[in-house]
Amino acid sequence: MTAGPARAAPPPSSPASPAAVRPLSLRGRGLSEAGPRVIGPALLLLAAVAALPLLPGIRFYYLQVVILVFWFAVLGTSWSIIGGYGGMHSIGHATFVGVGAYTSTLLYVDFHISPWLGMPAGMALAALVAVVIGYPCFRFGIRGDYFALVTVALGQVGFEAANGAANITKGAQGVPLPYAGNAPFAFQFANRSVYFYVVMALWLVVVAVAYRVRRSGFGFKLIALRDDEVAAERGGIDVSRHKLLALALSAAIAAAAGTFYAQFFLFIDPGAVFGLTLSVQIVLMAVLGGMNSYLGATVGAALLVPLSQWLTTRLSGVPGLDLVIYGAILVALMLYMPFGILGLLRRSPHWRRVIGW
Amino acid sequence: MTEPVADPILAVRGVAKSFGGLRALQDVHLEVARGSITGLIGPNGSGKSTLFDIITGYQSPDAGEVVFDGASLRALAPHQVSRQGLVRTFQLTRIFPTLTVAENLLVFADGAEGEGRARELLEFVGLLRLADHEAAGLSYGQQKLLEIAQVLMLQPRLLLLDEPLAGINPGLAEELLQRLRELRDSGMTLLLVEHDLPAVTRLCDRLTVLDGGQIMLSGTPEAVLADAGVKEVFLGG
Amino acid sequence: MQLPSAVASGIALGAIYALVAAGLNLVFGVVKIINFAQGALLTVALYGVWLFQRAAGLDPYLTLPAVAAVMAGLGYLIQAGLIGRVLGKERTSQLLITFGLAMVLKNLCLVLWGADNRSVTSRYGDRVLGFLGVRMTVASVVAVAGSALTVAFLYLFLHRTRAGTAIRAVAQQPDSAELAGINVRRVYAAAFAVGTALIGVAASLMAPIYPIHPGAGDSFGIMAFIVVILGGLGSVFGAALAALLIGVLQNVFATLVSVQLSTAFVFLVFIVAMIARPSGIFGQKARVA
Repeated sequence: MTAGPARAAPPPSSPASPAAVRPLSLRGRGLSEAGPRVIGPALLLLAAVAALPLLPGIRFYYLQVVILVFWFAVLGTSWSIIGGYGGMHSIGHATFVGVGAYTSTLLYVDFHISPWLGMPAGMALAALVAVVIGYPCFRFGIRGDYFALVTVALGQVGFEAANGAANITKGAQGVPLPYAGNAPFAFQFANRSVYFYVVMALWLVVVAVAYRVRRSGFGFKLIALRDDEVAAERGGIDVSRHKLLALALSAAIAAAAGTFYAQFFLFIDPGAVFGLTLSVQIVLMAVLGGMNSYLGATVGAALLVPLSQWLTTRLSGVPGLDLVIYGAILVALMLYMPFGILGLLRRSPHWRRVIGW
Repeated sequence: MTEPVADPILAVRGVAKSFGGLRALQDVHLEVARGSITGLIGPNGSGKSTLFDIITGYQSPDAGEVVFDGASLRALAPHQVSRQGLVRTFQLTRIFPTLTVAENLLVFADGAEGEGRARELLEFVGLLRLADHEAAGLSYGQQKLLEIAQVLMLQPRLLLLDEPLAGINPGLAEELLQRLRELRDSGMTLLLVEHDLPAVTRLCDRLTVLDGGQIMLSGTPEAVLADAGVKEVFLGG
Repeated sequence: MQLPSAVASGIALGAIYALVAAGLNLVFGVVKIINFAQGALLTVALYGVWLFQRAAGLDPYLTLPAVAAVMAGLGYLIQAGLIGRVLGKERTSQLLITFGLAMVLKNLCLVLWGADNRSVTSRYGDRVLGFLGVRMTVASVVAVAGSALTVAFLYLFLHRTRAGTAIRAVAQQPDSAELAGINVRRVYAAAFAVGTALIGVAASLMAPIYPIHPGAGDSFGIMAFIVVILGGLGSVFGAALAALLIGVLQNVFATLVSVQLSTAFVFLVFIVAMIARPSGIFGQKARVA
């Protein structure tokens, strides 16, 4: 039985309009709405990228740049789930990367457990950390800038702990992974191109996850609580629980990326995987591309990673200049284009549905 | 002074609340009859919003309790109170600005049944033709209607309205009053805080007066507004 | 052991924290944004002190007014040119813009002057004084005294002058203040300028004690947040007290346990304190949204 309204008087002045006839739906058609003129070229681009390692004579340096693009896109997309959809601006996301990297690496180096098993272990641990920090924060209403502050502090704690607890983490000198040649079961491949496909697959999975989340009831509830937490609570949404779930999911994804980093570079240290710089880069990717969209971080990474690689080689004699430029980009973005590149499309209802804004 | 209510859907018993040294509510007893429209009136600062906050779980009382349809609401969080069927609107209308009008409702109920209900409710408040518009672009009055449609999605048994007529033009106000009567006729109970005394007299079955954190008087609108003490409280306010 | 000395230098450390936190408190209380660039501004000020000494051979205590003035100007520009432009907008923009600014400032120092430690000396700074069984350098004593004086001046400024009262009015009710004829934008800029000037004072006092390098201000910046959160927003003396407490705690922990872990420890304390007592010890309930 519903205590709903009885037949109402007709609304004041509304002729039968298309909106009244089209079915109301939470989801819309999403990506498929982009139409063949957009989807076609996009798929071609994807295929071309996938074919890159197969190009005869291609220097691995370029493949590595693309690998890093995918890697940062994975991280930035995971951030978008909490920062974009949920409005939780964490500047400590590297913490989860570090947890993932160190968990799978230490399990491998100290206990000879395959990183394929270490990865889910790291993901679970990162999700746990997320819940342990998130629960008291959300329970006590820590949000906005305060939450960002807590995440920065968390990042520092992670960094200092990794540096300081040398008997477990080997401290500031880092942990090298023994080179195992071609050992697929140990997540190592002699043919470096395999890493390319691994990270590309990871990226595809993560973007798909972000897409599905955006179009799910859960995703809409995240956006609702981002817009107005009080109204969301009033509407029966358990805000804390939703935030925790989002944070745990995001942390797990970041941890998986951490494991990949360890396996690809065969060396991790606190600065690389726990550092504030990494946390800022993650945020920058997402914000530059458009943090509300599941594609935003990919766009951001596609632009920023090659740029920063180029900068590093050009400015290798001047340490710190690259970070000056990152910072300047961030400031400029916030002044002139706070919604990022994909955010430019947000005025069009059609494109909003496609990019999931 | 206040006759007990038959079949109360909501009972507030001995609620007290202080903020620092300020006593906002003191020994408040209130009963809302099932299927009625009850008005809560009182001068500014009398504690009406605080009482609403306590009933809906946004604040907890220093003393006393709130019983909804026989079940105590003690220690329930706001979202849990809403899920029990007791939902409120806010004085400053709260909706989700970046979602569309339709999404504002659909976020609360998924599936075909939810979509059907959302359509019905949008028709009910006259916003169906704006279904795909971003909610941020609605006028103030339209946002108020949207909020009402939103809370109705939750199928409340008791609806608390915090100054529903504030800031909207007389035409829309009339329409809104009519909608509220229709809601009552369909079986919902309404409790509203309002300052517009003529409107409240026409709409409400019962009025309760809150002054200085204490219940002064409860009864029919005519009886309450004729009371000398009440008239004094409202003179000039 | 060396506990009394650890406490004494902890007080000196806390005195520096108090000044940086006072600046943060002012900005956060008035402009209502969290200034992530606090630490970086401290770094810039430290380099400023060093540059003055390199250029003119002057004692840092003598150049204090100049440094404070330059920092005030910088703060005014930052508020008027950057932060003021995003004030009406999304919270993200405010958060990230000060963060981006911090990155630019800190790494500019790295680019311009390299990663090596620089140092500043004061003529009598290294002399050691002993009293109550504790030995402290002159520089430390001056830091404590200077900080106490500055905090006192700040309180008087906020509560006894017209400008200070305008600042407090805007902090509490910007709309009413505007109606009363106060130019709110200018007050924001003034608050930022004063806050940054305080950082300049802190830098002048700490320069003879700490090495100057691009990361020098970082931990002080974070500590300032801890202090402000623990001491309560809007409370000058609350923040000062919290600063002393934190300084002592950190130093004692560093002496008794480990220097590296002491920083992690204080961050942990921060997270816990943040979650448990967002309203701080003396301040009003902090608005958490």
